[in-house]
Amino acid sequence: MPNGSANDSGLPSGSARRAEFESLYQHYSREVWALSYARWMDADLAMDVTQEAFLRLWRQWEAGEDIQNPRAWLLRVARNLAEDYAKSAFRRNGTQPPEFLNGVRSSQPLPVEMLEKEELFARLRAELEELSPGDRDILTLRYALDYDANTIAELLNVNVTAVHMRLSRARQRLAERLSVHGDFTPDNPAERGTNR
Amino acid sequence: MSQSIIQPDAIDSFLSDFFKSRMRHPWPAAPVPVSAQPSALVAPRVASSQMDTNGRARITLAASVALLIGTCWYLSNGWQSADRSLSKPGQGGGPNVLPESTAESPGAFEKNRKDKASQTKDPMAGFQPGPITLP
Repeated sequence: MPNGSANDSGLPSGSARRAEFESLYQHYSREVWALSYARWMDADLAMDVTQEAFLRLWRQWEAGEDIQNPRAWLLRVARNLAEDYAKSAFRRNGTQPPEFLNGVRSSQPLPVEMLEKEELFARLRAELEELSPGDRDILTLRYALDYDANTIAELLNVNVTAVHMRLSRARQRLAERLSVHGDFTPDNPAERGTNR
Repeated sequence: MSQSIIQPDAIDSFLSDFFKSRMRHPWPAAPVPVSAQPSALVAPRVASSQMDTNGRARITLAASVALLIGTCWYLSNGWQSADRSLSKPGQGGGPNVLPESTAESPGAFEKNRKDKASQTKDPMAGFQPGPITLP
């Protein structure tokens, strides 16, 4: 149950509960999104999972449940929701595989640079999908949220050394795979990043 | 496309660009949860209407049961049996169908039978026996 001003019955008032809810969302929604995204590499699905996880938290509060650690609760629910998605009919049957949809062009013409960047990202996404879910968790938290190894280790309940090792290994693997495919050229954004 | 050695900074920057580009800008607001409890204005009205509904249902049920019992009692000659219990045998109490008669002395039946016998003509009167002609 969230902290906050309580009414006569001892329960937090509606506005206090709402404020607590907003605060939790501001603090943890990106983490929830990142771990959901790491599971399926689908940004919209991850956002749906995030919103659903927070709505379930609210419902638990309304049912009088006492959630001691909302952050851990949210991450666990988001993981379960993402796993449930794997069993859903949409996931099983789908419409088209992601590799196919990556090649679909927008009806609006993109600038050449944007187009090249998107194609490069699509290539990276395909490579990321080859990694283990655990490695994707670490990479997403590291690069989407700029978390350091200690924070990632605490959040995922793993050893800091293991985080460093897996991060290094994943980066090395990605660099090798993308080099083999010749995706890194002097003109692409990644190469420009070396000059910063 | 050229083959190139990727520096650690390059892959870092590339990954950071990629993951950040997947995040929505601006970040969506928190979902608006719908409270499962009715509002304070609606709650009393709902409670009173529920009480009304329950009371009405009970009254309807009681009336239906009473009507059913009354109908069954009436159809089983409930009123007549009540009158008989009040009347004495042979005193003509109750419905005046068989006055001055009881099960032991059915005087009314005897009188009735004699009256009918005196009024009845001979069934053989006017009958002329003869051959029957078939068509």
